[in-house]
Amino acid sequence: MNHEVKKSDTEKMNDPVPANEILGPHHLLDVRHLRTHFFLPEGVIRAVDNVSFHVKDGEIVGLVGESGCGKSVTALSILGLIPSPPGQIVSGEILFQGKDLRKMSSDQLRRIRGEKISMIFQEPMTSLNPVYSIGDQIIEVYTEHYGLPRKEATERAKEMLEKVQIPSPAKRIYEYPHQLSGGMRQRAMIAMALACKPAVILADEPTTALDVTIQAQILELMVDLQKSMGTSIILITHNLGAVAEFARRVIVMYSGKIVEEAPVVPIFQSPLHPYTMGLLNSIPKLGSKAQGKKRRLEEIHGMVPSLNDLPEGCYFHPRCFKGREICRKEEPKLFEIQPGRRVACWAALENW
Amino acid sequence: MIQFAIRRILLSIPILLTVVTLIFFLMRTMPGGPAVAVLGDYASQEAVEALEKQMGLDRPLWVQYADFLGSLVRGDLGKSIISGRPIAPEVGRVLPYTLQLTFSSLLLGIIFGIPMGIFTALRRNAFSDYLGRTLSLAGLSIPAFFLGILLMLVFSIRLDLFPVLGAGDILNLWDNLYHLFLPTLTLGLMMTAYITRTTRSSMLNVLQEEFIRTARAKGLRERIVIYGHALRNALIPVISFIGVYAIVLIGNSILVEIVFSRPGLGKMMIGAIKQRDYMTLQSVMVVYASLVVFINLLIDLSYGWIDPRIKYE
Amino acid sequence: MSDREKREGEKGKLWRTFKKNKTALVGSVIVILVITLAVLAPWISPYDPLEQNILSRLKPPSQAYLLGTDEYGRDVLSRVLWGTRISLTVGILSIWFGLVVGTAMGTVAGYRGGIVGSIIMRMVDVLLSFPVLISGILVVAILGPGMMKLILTIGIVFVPRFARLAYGPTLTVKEREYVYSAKVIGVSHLRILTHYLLPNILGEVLVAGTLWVGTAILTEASLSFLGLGVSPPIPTWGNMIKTGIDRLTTAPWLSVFPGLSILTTVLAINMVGDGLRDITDPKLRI
Repeated sequence: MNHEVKKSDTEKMNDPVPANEILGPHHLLDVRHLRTHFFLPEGVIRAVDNVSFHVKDGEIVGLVGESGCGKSVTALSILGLIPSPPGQIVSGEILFQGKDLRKMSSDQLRRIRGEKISMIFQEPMTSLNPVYSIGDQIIEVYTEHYGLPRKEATERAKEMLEKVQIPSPAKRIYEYPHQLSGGMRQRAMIAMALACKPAVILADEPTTALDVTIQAQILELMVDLQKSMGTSIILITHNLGAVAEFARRVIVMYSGKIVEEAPVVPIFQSPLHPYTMGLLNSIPKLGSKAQGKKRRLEEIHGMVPSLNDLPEGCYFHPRCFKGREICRKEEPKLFEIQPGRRVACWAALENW
Repeated sequence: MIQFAIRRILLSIPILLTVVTLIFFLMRTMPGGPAVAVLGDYASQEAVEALEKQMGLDRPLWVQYADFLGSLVRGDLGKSIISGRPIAPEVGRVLPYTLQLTFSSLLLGIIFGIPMGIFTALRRNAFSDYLGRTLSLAGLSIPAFFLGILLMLVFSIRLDLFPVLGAGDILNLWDNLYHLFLPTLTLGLMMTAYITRTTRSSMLNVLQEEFIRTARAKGLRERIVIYGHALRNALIPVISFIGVYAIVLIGNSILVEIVFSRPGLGKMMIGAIKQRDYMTLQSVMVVYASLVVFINLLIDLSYGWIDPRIKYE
Repeated sequence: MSDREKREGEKGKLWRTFKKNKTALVGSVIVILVITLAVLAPWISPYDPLEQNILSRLKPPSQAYLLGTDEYGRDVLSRVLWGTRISLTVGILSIWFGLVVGTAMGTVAGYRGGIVGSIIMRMVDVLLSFPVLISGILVVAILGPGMMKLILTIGIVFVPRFARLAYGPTLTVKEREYVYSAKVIGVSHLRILTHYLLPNILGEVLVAGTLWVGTAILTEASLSFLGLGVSPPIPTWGNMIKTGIDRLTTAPWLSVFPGLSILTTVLAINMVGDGLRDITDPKLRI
């Protein structure tokens, strides 16, 4: 049993940067061969199917893919929030600061949630408790993890609201979610997530539900705070523009598997996996018409397969323009084709 | 919130007026007319007319109506046809018994029903859940008078623990409670059944909500997630259901008053019907109507107070 | 899959979900049993329920009289069996009346809409604020006693309940595209009501109707117990308890068996109703 040296609450509060207890070969977060399945009467849904990746200190990793590809389930698995039944983490290790989260007691894991690893959800209206003031919802994070008395926690909550740029925090702290606009609600969620200066933030589509005009503001806010606190972020999104601008590395998922991973510039300039290529092609580019380039948005033909009716071999092959015989028969394993670049594709591997 | 409250209170007045008017007109539709009801079908025409004149029934309808409303406002509930005595004091005498019964049963139901509802919601599909659910369902399926009889059989007759009849002396607290126990238990068990079901279903709904996931993601203790985040939300619809059940309870209290021979509005009403005392019946109905309107008002107001979404518009 | 196959598949799924609900199954079995007993009562009752036999008064349950005898020497078992007929008849017919009249009212009010519709519904709401029992007492006081009048009484009490039940969904369905299209094409109002609106709200109405049969049976029993419903010598569970209560200490079987019959029947109906509600409203699936 691991006994961490428990820091006093004051020490914890005053850490400017989350300190790794063991520096060395460990990444901050290391997910290894994670498999999360859902056992339904219709069959077993392999929502996360042998997913491995890592996150380093202070980096922003983009996790992209279409709806249902398993990105949210991956994040929920990390925090142990998979509803069980019917879901279950079937196998794999989730190493955080060197320790396997899956092997922890529920109490230990609970203490990590919200303090060392926190999560921001997509829809702030339904993710906030309608009958508690937003102040209370931030205060309780301080009361729980730092054991602060209410008065002090309130002060810190006000500071947090200021940091997320909510105007007149002293007043807003007593307001309820329904009294705030969508953008402000998301800021409140960010405040809750960052309250204890976590080492990792799992941001699950943080801007998708917001007005387009607000989206950029929220993303910038997150990145600013990230820089000043040194937090790592796993940015789950299908907004490739946000990923291009903010992420350092990108992981692409499809039907529960990782199909490509690379640093941000290479993946946008020279994607290796046909699915990634398809995704990038479907982004409308300003001015492309003026330049005489293609006018119609390209789409990846075919449909995302239902998760309990997956194709044989490579999951993507029915829709793949490079598909060959081998793709239909054998599933390509994720392979590190260059340092820092992984891809699961026969075409990329054998260079067709 | 204040606006909402004032609007709602003001709304009660036309509602009460409508109901009272309805009662007034219904009473006058009794077959043969109220006078015949009193004198019987074989009464002579002159006797009927004489009695009608005495009762003021020969006046134009709208005059009677105005008179009726006027008396109500003054608190005059008329005189019993049978005894000739004023009704209002009689109502005043028995009303406390009915209110006492209703209120304590409601309280019992809440005290036991809500924890049981939470308990079964948390142990969903376990054996204790099935047991709880079946018992609750039984509580809704049993007639109030039969439950009262069963309890009477067990406690009063076999075990000789509690009195069978009456309400005891209202001024003597122990005697009062002693007589109150079984009737309250009867209605209380039924209320517990209703409230358990509602609380359970509400909790299960709330536990599916996303903000519960957020609460867990923040690393809050499970106890706080359930009893703080979940319960606070779950209780909101339960409160309004409690109000609805309170009204059902009023109906069932009549049966319990009869079974236990307890003085109360219900007993008075049934007596009035049996004796064709339409005046007393009318007045008792008016009192019931006021109670119902009042409870509905309380429900709506409490909803506005508890749910911040309404409180802070 | 053709449309028909899809519908059959959905129906099969509903049936399978219902079957999985054990309580609902048990309830259904009991309900079928009760209905059978009611139908067969004239043939399976060991004695004539009205036949008096002064020599065998107030006998406790025995081999000759399985549930004992009452103060006139009448066999309690036979009376309970015949009482089943009354309770079920009153319960089902009164709900049927309320359903037909109330749903019609609610649908028309919802369809027509406008001020008239909402005024009617306001009135309905006022009526609904009264508990079933008190409304029942009031109506029966006006209409008088007797089985037929009782059916009418309870039916009238449920009319506003069905009306309100039908009103809301009608408003929703009314706004749907295909109804609008039908109107534009020129489909008659009547046809729209019967072919488009009704099928959509029928699910909810039937589930509530099933549950309310139980309430109707309880109401009939309560009114008979109060002496306002069916009177002796016709046996109904309610009036049997009314006479039985006077001899609770000496002959408890007079009250207990009819009471248990009410409990069992209504409980079974509620179990079935709960199961039906689970399959028609997945959001409430417990």
